[in-house]
Amino acid sequence: MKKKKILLIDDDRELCGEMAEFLADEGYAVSAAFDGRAGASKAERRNYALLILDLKMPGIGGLELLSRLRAKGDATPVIVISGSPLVTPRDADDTFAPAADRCALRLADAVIPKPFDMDRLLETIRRIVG
Amino acid sequence: MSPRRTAAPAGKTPRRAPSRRDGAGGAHPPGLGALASALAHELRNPLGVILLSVGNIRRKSAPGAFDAQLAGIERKVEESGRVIDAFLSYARIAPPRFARVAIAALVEECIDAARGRHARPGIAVGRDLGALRGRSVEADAGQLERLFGAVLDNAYESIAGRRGRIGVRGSFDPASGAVTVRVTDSGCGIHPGDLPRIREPFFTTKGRGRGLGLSACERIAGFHGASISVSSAPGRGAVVAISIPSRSSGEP
Repeated sequence: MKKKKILLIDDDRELCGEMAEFLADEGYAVSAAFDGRAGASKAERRNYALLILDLKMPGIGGLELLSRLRAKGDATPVIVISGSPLVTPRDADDTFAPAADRCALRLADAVIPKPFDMDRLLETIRRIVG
Repeated sequence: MSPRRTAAPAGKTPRRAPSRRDGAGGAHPPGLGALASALAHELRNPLGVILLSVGNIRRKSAPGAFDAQLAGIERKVEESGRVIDAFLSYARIAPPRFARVAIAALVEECIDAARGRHARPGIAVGRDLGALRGRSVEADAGQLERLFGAVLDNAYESIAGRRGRIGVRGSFDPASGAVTVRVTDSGCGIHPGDLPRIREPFFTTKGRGRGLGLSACERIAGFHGASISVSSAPGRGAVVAISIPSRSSGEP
């Protein structure tokens, strides 16, 4: 059976490495991009089953990238991962978060605040893409 | 939260919060919220890598080989995450949105909410809020709820594992126009050596506390021109009195 492709977009190389190792063992084909621009370039090929996207990155940030993809009609599922306070459970009503950011977050299929463990990541991926 | 209370000789540490007019009381140090957000982000990323690394080590090592050590690392990551959350919560106490607030009803709600949170059948809660009926203060209701909630949580936690009582009494001073809510408990009290420090951020003697509860209360009180005094007697619990001007000190 053909492996499902996942694109990791996060400027933390160590985090990408740990996720890639785990997801490869779980049977996914994993690619990585370490900044928003490279991530956008790869994502535009639209041959991924899932994007896992960090928010705060040099160049194009995760929310901007997500907004651009959706504006172009790209419906590839996206899981946002972030250490930003924007994505902690309390932040749904966080008046400190810019309104544009809160709106963009709603374009994601799931949001996982860092730090997270493998089980949570895998459960979310399986729920979205199987 | 404030520290665990222990039997202590009588002592009192009243502190009058600065009025809103002086602009110092509960005001944010410049950029504190942004600093906290940046710090949270910078710490959550490496914690994330650590947690995922633990997962990979566990999967690739012999079954049970490092279980205790890996579980210990996971616990510490979780604790670190809670510290970050507590700091963010503290740093994000925004300037209040003032409105007239019926103080008796608000305190009643806080008492009921605290009972729901703690649900300890061995703790009797008495209330005498008659003097506050019909009184209102200019305040941010959400912030006052947080303040009273933290004080009540401390009262419950000071009686942990035993039978005890909590009393909430309201009074009104016609001369100053201030309302005072006095929360008493029969808990373990505050050690006299700890009393001067209980308002410091991150000071705690609780095993699981973050030490930001009373510090956050102080900031909220400062916004409202209110004052918090804490007294404790040996083996006789503690008394926390919160006095709020019925008309804000920033008004003529």
